[in-house]
Amino acid sequence: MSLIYNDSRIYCSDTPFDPNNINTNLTFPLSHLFFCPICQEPRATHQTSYDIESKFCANCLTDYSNNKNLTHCIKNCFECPDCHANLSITMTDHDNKGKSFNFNCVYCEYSYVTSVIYKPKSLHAIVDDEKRANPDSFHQLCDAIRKGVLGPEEEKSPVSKNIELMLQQTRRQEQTPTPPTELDLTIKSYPQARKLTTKTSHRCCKCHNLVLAYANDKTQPTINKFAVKFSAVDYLPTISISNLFNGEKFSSQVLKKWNGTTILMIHLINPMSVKCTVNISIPSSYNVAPEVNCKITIPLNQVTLGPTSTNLIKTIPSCFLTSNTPTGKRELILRKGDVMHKPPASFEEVEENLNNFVERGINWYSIPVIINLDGSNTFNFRLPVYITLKSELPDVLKKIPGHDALSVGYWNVIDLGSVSLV
Amino acid sequence: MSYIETSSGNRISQDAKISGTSQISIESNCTISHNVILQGDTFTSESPTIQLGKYCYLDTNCRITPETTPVTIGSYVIIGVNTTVHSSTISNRVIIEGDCTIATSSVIYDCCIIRKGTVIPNRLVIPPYSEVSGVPGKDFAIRKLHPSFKKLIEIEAKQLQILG
Repeated sequence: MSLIYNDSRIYCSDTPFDPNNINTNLTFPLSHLFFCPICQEPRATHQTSYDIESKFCANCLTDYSNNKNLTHCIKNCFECPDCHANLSITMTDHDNKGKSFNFNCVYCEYSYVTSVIYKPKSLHAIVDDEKRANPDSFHQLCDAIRKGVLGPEEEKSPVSKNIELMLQQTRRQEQTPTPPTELDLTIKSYPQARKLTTKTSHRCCKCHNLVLAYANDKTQPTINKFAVKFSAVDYLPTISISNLFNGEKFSSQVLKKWNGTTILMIHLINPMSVKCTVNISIPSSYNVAPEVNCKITIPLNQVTLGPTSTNLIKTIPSCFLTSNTPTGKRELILRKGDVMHKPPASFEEVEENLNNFVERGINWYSIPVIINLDGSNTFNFRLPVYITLKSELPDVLKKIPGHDALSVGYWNVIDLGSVSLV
Repeated sequence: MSYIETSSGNRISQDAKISGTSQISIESNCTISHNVILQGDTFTSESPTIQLGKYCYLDTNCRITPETTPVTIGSYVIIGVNTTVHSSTISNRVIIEGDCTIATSSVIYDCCIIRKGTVIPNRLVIPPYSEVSGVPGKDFAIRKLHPSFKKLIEIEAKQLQILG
């Protein structure tokens, strides 16, 4: 059972959810979401606004937070323009105290030698000067556009001027078509300064409440301490799917061949230190794919999940336990007893006594679901589940005014992968 | 497929090929799977040439070979199948998926995920909270990772220690 490699995604958008036509671009894994304590809703990164709090070069660890306009390191941190690996820099002495610098990529065959310089200058200034002195066609166009925008003439607007320049360049290229190999030779690539790494704080776009902020600790830029952190994984239950019995691993990457009806297990795991009530609503019938109808039966719609425990093994549903390690095996025997050594129940037996196969643990519930598919097709099966969560406020959220309890409702889409009906 | 278990909770496969054991330091609750190669004797040093923190999981066929500098691996690090590590420092809470190559003197900071088949070139520094994928010159990319991964990677490493 993995919380990172999980096929369950949450729908995050202001547009209403349509189970018959799921827009996967608006579904995100739980691990990628924030949680807004004011709106009490999961928030994807696109639903937050961000501010850059600090920036630094990961290579030389120089802090550039006070230099607002810098986006690249201005020290000797250069990367290869072809493969982004580091460049090793060596110096060669010449006559009259002249010096030249050699940049060699540590991964590919890229190398660059500067012209001989006689006055001390930073490596960035040397590379920038050479870029300006010998511009390639792309940089020439960039320069022309820059001049077009900043030029003193007022007869035409800068935008129309730039469009004209670009059209001229395109016409010129069309008139004298050059083979691509020749074109590549004319583009000269210079060593690139390393991009800076940023630390950003995020705010909910609806209520402007902080959902992520870094602590103001400037001792070492690589240390990340958070002053505010509201992640969805800390408040919303993890929902995952598996086969009915442990032993066979369920994978959405593998093509599954089903004969119309199948039984799977849905697992709900509470991450909070307080108990919560979860209501599960699955559309009773919907169009999974063209010409495929789906009917889902679930024996239990509402469950109460206990608070999470520090004893990690108790928080793992039985379906995910293995006998690969003595600890896992011990727990499996403790939970299953002699059932472990009996042959698994038949399909009909499970269908008749569905309630008997519901399992529960300290902070989790495993519920069997019967899926009836009608049609003959191969399709990508996504199971939409509407989750309503109600609980007391966890200690962290009690400090935030506005709510007496936690109440969240959202759509969770479980990706079951490719299914072929036989 | 048998494991040797130590009092500190380490599980070491009997098929693992470990050389230079006096130069290797393993903290606690680590798993070293089948056919893992740990070469602690590639050079001599006063400090250990391979250091593993707690809850590290080395999957089958992965290889740790220090070349010029000692390899220091922090806690809660998962190294996938067929991955080769020569790098100098891997911090805490890092997942390196299968078929990756981590070259000499590269540094991976806290809370990073290195996706399957990634090649990290020499001396490259991966900033904290990064997701790295691809091969340099082809599709190499470093993206930001969500802060919730700090907790998730730790749980993942602990679960692997329990579930195998």
